[in-house]
Amino acid sequence: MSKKTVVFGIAGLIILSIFISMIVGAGKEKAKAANEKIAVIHVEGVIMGGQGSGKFLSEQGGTDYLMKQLHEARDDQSIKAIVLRVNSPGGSAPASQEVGEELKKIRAQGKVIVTSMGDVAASGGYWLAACTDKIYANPATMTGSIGVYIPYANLEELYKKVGVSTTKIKSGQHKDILSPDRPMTAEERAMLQAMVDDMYNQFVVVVAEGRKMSPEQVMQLADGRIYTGNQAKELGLIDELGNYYDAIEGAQQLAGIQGRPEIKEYGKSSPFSLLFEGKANVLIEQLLLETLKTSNNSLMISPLALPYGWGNQ
Amino acid sequence: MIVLTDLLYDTIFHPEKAMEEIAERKPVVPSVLIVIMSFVLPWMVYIGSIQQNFGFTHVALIVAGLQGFINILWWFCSAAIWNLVAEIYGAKANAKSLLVALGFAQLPYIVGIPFLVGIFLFSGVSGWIQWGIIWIIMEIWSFTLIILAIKQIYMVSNTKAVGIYFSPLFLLVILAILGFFLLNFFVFAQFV
Repeated sequence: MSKKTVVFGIAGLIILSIFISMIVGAGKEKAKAANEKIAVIHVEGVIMGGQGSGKFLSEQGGTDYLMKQLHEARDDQSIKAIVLRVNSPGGSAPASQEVGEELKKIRAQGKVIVTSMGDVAASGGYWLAACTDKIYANPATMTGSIGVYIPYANLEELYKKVGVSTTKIKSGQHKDILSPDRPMTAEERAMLQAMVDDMYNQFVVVVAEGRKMSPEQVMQLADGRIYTGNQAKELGLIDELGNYYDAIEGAQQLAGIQGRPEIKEYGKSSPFSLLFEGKANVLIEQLLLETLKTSNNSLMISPLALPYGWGNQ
Repeated sequence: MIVLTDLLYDTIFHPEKAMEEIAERKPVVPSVLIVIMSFVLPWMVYIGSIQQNFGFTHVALIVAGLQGFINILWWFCSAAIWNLVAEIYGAKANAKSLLVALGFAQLPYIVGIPFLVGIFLFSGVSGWIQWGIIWIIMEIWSFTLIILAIKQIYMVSNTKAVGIYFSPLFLLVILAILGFFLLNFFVFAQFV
């Protein structure tokens, strides 16, 4: 064999290799694009409206971010189903409602949404779950807590003891409603009770529609109590007992995905977010502190009706 | 007259003879082409196959362009530095021959491509360890060709050729250590 033949043989092999790598690479890319996917979106910590904590190269928390993820999943044609992984003790009623309505719209557009409950999926967390096609929970998951409350503390006596006196110049009689430096009047109590009742009724309607129950049936269960996954299954508040992977399998079946689906996880920590982000979950006490700092009447956060510490696990 | 195929064949199978021929004939154009292809072709394979699994293709293209620029710069600088070191060692300067020979010493990175593609076909993206092994083999092969080039061009022994190769690195290490101690002495000593 001449030197020329060997060199041309090697050159041919190199050119052939490059072509093969490109063809195979492109083929893999096409196959990947054709794969039907299931999106996993995490609802972690307290559900609060707004943008959450936007940090350098990443953002977390806040329903704006959650809805952005939902929209991305909705617009991705390869995503056939969404698994909402809920690990939340609840949060603000309007924020839960906002996301819940978005979930309903996405379902109306033909995408399947399945909830997988983690440790806790109560109150606002349950509100979101009720807006999905199917709910999976672990037997020991804490769920339920269907109800609304407005926290209020009268610190009048404490203020007197520490020598603090407050004065307010009000534009209206009820502008300082829920103020901790004076007792609540009967009229104010009635007003707040009406608001709580209204939000409660909205919550009941969402659960009744989602769980295919009558509002009366829901009201019997919705006295604010929490249920285990097992109890919730017996009462019809969830569909199946199962873990995260059971929920994925359930979503696959509902969406009619053949073969093994590709999982696309949203909100996963990137190396950048690990470098530049603080703690991902919003702690209840931090949230309450921020709420107290920013607004007088934003204490209308409803759920959070769980014993202290459950949301922080 | 140079027969390029013979030169390429000898670079692969009889490198010592090939380096002697390169030192004498100085085929600049094939050498430049080898240098360019030695980073363009592996990047084509990488972007065409592996990178598609990860996305960020535009980033990979920028990195490839940057690597190309650095490779060419390194090619010229290393030829200049090793030529200077060889002169210090008492050899006769022959920078052009060394530059051309260093270009041919990049040939393993082109010849290794079918192996890289083969690993990708059989192991997919998980075959990165095998990729690493092939890459190390190509590095060792290229290193051997550089040593032979230095040996043939400057007419020195194998030991001296290795000495010329590593001298700039040793010098750099010594300078770094000296710099560290001097910095310690002049800057940090003031704060004690």
